[in-house]
Amino acid sequence: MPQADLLRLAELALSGHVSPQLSEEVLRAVVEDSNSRAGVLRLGDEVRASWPRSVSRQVEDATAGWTEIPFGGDGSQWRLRLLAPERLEQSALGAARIALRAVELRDELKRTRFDERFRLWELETVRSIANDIGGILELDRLARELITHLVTLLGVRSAAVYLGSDPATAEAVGSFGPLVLLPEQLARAWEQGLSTDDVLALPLESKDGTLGVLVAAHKEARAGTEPFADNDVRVMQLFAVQVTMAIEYARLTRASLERERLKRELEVAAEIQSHLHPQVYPEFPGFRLAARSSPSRQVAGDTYDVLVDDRWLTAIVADVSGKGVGAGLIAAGIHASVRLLSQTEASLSGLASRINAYLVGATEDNRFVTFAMVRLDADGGLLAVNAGHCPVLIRRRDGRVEQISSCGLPLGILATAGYCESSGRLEPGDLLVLFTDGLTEAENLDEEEFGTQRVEQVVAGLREPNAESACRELLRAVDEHAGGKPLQDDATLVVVERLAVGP
Amino acid sequence: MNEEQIHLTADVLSNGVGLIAAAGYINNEGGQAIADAAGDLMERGCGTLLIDLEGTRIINSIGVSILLEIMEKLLEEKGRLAFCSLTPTISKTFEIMGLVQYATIYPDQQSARAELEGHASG
Repeated sequence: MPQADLLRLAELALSGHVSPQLSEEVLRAVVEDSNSRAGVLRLGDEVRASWPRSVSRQVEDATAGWTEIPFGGDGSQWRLRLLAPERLEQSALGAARIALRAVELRDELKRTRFDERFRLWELETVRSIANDIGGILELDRLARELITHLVTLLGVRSAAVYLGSDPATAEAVGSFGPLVLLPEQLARAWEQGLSTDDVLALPLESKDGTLGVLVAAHKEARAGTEPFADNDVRVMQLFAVQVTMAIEYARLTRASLERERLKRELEVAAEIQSHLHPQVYPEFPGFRLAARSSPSRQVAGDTYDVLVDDRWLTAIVADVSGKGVGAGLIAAGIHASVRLLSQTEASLSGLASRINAYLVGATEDNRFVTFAMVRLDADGGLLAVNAGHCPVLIRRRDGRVEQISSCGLPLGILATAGYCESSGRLEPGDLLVLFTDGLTEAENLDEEEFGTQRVEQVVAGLREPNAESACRELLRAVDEHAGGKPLQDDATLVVVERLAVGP
Repeated sequence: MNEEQIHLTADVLSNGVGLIAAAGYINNEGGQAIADAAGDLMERGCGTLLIDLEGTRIINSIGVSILLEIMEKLLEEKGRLAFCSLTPTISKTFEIMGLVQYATIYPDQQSARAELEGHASG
């Protein structure tokens, strides 16, 4: 009967209906056919079936009388052990061999199918990385996603992405499991990569240099871990390229968005700054105003203002050292300070001293502000403070030009600095000209500056000596001098004209 | 929660349905823990197993192979395997590795139980 069973099992196996229990059924039939007390069937070192099932390795080792039958053939790894067999029919063994060979082929087919699907899965995982991480711009989140893919793909117990400008300062921005790289290993991996049985670490190389290191460690096997295979290295290399591209894309996109944000902020800052300047010149009977201000960057370190009350017209021009947003912020502070302090501080020198004291405590050591302020009454009576600024010019009606020169340090340098006031008079037909060094320092192609002297010459030679004409002609002359080159510094010009009362 | 470790709960539901909720890394250890829980539920008479993977983001090839073995074992016993709450990545993995051919995938535990417990009783 057992022989008949074996033949049935062999037929079943040959027909392709191989169940996982077939090896046990075959062993049972062989044990019964040979009238053995027990049997063990191994494939390689693995016990695939024992009959009775209670036969453990310990029982097997402790029992004498085992007969091992070479049960292979056709490259098969089967080993059959029978305990005290009474007979061995070759036909029964042949049938059993056929059935077991079918079991082996079934296992092989399963493995091959699994391996094929696993390769497909690897490819799909690598391919899907671009989709899954596209649009992730935060490096931490990006690193976490990448690590998830890497752990899945290689089947490792730990993985990490180190990023930084060099191995000494690089940090693990994403990790799974314990970090396994020692500092010296990280340095080696950064330079040339690192490959051992337990650890794979590859540099993330972009065209601008190494961005970091990708690490995978302790590849899992069915029981414990196993060394990385050549295919793992290839997959990791492919993955490292994907990771590098993803990180570069995230960085470049973030930088681009940041530039765009800064550009928008600068536009807003420039807009705000432009509104600090008078949009409409205040009316002060007997006087007329004109002004120009052009920043060399979006936000200027120059500022100007014109304040009018029932007694005075006050014109202010200030130039903050440096350029850009930092200078612009200080310029805005000066603008606000003058407006606020002029309501309570009657004297120009006192006002300059208070702004100076504020600036000394509020700005960096290397920041300072040149500042000129002129106050006129309705009769042309004039008071001026010049704190390290370009000379303020008075063009007389007959074309002569006079200077109100500096009488103190620029603001923001020395807390105890004092400022004196100059006095004078603006007669009908005279022009008062305040400007910043963006005008005088404009260079021609020979790097020769426009200079204060040329400003005086242009002002003196005005065919139409009025405020608007003075602004227009000065800027035209500067532009001509510079040969059309853009100004290297912020340039500001304010002209106050005392209207002539007669011919 | 430590994602590197598997966290399991196993319950016998109504009508021969066993529920395993697994959160964490499904590797050889995580996979084996699920296989042990599945074997236990089958011994307790569960012919249908529902594996809820909410909280599981990562599964490696060994984890997949263990799940395939659970599926084979269930099919031999004329049982039924189902999964729910899969991440898109794991769903894709199951599709490629052939698990979806013999296991049913549900979006969440509620819909899975509604169908499986109703089905088993019906």
